[in-house]
Amino acid sequence: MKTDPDLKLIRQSKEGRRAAFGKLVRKYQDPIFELVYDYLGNYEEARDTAQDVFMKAFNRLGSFEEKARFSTWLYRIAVNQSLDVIRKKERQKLILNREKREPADQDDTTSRNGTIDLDQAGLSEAQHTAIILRFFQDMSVPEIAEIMDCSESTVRTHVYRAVNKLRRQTEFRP
Amino acid sequence: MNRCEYQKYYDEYIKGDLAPELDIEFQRHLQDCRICEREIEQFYQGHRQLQALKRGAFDDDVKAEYHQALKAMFKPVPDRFSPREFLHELVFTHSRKLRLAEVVTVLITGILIGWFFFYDGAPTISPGSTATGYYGKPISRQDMEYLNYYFLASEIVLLEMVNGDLAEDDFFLEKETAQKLLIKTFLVHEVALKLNDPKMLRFLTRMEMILYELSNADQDQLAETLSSVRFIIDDGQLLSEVRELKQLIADSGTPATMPG
Repeated sequence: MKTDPDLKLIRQSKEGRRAAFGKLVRKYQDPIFELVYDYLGNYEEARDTAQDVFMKAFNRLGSFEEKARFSTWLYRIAVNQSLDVIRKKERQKLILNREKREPADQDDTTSRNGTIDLDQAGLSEAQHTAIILRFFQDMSVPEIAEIMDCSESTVRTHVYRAVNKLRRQTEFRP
Repeated sequence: MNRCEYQKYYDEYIKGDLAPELDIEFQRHLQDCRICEREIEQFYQGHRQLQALKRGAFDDDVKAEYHQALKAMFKPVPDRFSPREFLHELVFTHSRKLRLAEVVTVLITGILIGWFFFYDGAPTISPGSTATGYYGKPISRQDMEYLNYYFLASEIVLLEMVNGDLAEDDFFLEKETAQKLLIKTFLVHEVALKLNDPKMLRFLTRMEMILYELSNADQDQLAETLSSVRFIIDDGQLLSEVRELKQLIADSGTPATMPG
């Protein structure tokens, strides 16, 4: 594995130097925001979630073992944080629907702002993540495998199945 | 759905991400596999639909508020000084800057200690200085003043040796006085060697001898020691010699007065 270009800043950050972590934040603030936005499709939510990602990374920096690259580790936190937000939203939606006894508002696989609706598309979280990283973040299969902590072959399968599911959904859409 | 092990490569094949060998292999496979031949076109449609969902780039001002919030969250705060951490860093951190600072500190401390304990205002010869000269030899004004002071002090001490009365209250020639003057004599000896002045060297050698005797004499031996010392002073005409040397230095331009 190549040496992590962020290693020096990470070690300084681990020593408690907030300025060093500030540099890492400046480096990754845009990619992380964009990734989170691709999941959530809402500016306010993406902004708050991205901030949570960095706060979580800062608090957990001690547990970062420098085996993986910092960027991979940070993306993994961002993916998990985004999925958490989506899960919460889904639960809220379920509760609201149960209370109102009304069907879900959206009847399309994609929301109005272009994000993929997990429920409607029938994608698993892993397939959803594979699609976002592959199509919206333009990452390579090995990079996605590192972030998702699985084999490249598994990533390929996730992508293949997700694309087919989405294709079929749009084909049968009235 | 029909299955083919090459299906998982559709995405990378369409995006052109396959490794060259695998790409060639995949193309060969496509020519023979009816499943892939049929499915890849459909997969490509799904691919295009997903690509269409891709958002455009954000304007900078859209993210300005977010950037500002992050900046506020992780702005550098001055670290609180902790003596324990500082010492730990000093001892265990192999920082080049810190090591250099340590070396410089040790050097400066060493120089200061050396200066404090060993420097006694020793005269130094400074060739080519602006001094008036002694026997035409280069000597600094500071050294001339030092010699002047030394011979004046020597004359006073010699006079006390010759005329002083041990029983009198104002007799000041104690063991410590002799020791201090002996040290000064050693230093002036160094100057004399550099000036290569035989007269001064002869005088200093005898002064060293006298002062050494007095420095090592106990109080009860002082009278006996003084008696023998007086003999040396008289016999060697040390008083006249010291006056002559003092005059020579005064003639060289430095007034024969005790430095303030």
